[in-house]
Amino acid sequence: MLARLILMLALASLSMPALAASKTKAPNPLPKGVTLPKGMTLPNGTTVAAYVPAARRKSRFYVATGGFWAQPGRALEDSVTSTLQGFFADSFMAALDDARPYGLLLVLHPELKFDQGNVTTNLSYRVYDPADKLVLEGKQAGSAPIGDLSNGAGFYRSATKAMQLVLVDVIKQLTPDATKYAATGTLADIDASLLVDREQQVASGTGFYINTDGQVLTAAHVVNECVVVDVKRDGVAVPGRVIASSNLLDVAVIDTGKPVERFLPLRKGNEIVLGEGITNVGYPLQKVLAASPNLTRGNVSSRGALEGSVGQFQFSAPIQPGSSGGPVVSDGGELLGVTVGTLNAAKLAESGVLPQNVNFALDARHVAQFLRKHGVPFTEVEPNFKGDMRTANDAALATVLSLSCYQ
Amino acid sequence: MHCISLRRTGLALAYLAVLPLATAQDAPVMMDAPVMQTVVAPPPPAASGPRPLPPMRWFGTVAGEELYKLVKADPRFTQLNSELIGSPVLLRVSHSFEATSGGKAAGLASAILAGSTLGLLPVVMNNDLIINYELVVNGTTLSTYTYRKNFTRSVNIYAKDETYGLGKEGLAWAKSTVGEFLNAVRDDAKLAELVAEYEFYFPEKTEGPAGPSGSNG
Repeated sequence: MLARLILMLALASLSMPALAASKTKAPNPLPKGVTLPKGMTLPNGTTVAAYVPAARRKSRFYVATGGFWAQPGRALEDSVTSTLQGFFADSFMAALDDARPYGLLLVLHPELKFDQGNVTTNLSYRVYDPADKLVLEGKQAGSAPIGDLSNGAGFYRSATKAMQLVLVDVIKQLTPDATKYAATGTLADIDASLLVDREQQVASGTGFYINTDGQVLTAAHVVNECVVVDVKRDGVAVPGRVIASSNLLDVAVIDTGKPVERFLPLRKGNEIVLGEGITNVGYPLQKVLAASPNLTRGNVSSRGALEGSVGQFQFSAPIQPGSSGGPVVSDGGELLGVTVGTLNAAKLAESGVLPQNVNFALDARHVAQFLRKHGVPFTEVEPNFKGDMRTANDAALATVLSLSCYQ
Repeated sequence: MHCISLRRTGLALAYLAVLPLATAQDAPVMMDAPVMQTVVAPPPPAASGPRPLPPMRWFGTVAGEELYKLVKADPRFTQLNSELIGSPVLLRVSHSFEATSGGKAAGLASAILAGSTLGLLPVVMNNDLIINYELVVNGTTLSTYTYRKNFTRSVNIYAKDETYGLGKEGLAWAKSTVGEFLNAVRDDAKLAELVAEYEFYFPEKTEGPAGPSGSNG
């Protein structure tokens, strides 16, 4: 009981600074010591749209011990919106297909850092005029005590400090007004590559050609919510466009618009033989491993996968983060499945169990159904049970690509 | 990345991780108590009653298994199961408390007072209880239903709490959100699309023509 009392008092004292940090306090438009050029007042009359990547806006994690969601993404969004309002009365957070016109587009790429009880929001920013011309770019940072995670006060305050400095830069450097930057641009019309940060991959994965049209099959979770997808092979990157996707199956098709000669055919009848040898190729651990495909061998270890899973089988060829979307190829050179997941060995190890090579693929039968449904051409071939790993390896290596997702 | 707890033969926890560097979305969920009136009705004949939704995994952070039992009692959620760790469809129910500025100040003063009396006085807290129902498909949120209500709770550190930290009123209200969720989800167009897609790919896994619509029983 004494311990509980001490804990209660400690919690009470800890929450004092959080009280002061409450985000209900109206934000001061200008940071301490910062003044505006003479004759300039706030809020400014320019219409400003702000773009923040979806992954950053949706960022959150559950604190099980406290029973609440910590939502740095929401705090960031609140902070950007309210700080913008202080500087530009006519401002809004823009979605990708937003048709609302803007005079200036502020593209923000935040990054959080934690250090000794403080959270720092690093904000990289670029500002475009309505003609998509880059008129300003830079970086600002703001720090605050982490405080009460449940209300996100620390996230909010650090983001607000950084955002204030960004907006001071915009005001001072561009001296904008509604005439100089008339609201004629829209996000729906902008070149998407202007929005993304090429330095920060949101996700990376693997894909492979499914037909001679240069269309690429991969796992949906690799390309979900990507603003730009780069499809790379032999060091050459081309932009891809997602033309079909199913979160239910976890599969997607990307169109590169570049015809190719080699692609992976599906096995006619989609029969999977328990124990048959397979090759898996992928581009795992990008930026850690060299940018060459990783090939692993194994076999079909089960026709089923996890309890409750549908349309998946289990295979034993080792895979790593970034292998998702890679092909599982038979020794006859036919596509048997698309890599979609694995058991998390680290988590299992915590409970004293060490799984070995328990990996999952979406089976080709459902891949075929998906492709037919979306009118994506593909080829089926008679099973070749006389092939060997050289056939499999050649088929996989000739068709596989690495994928990078940016927002 | 997905983190899915798995329990098999008492072995303990296992997790499924999807490979790319995607952001982790999964989180704990509570399960809580029964409350609604419509859920206990016997399942009507298959031809005319509400159609069951596809198999779905349950993940809850609130109130033990009470909410789980309530949701599962609905004829459309008969295939809801907390053990389906590989299911592509997940119903995640989580809760959080959000402090109001006034409530936080009062709670702080109350905590100091309670501490100074060695716990003889209870701590009085005022905050918003938020219950979130999320339908998630392979890590991507399909629909979210959020319910929020302000409560003042009195917590005595010497008393045993049988309300999962929600307080009596909070627990009763949490249970009542099940009915609201079941009503709301009936008209969920995105869920209807998902069900149609599920039937297209996995007709053998659905019990007859499934769909989100149908009466609450």
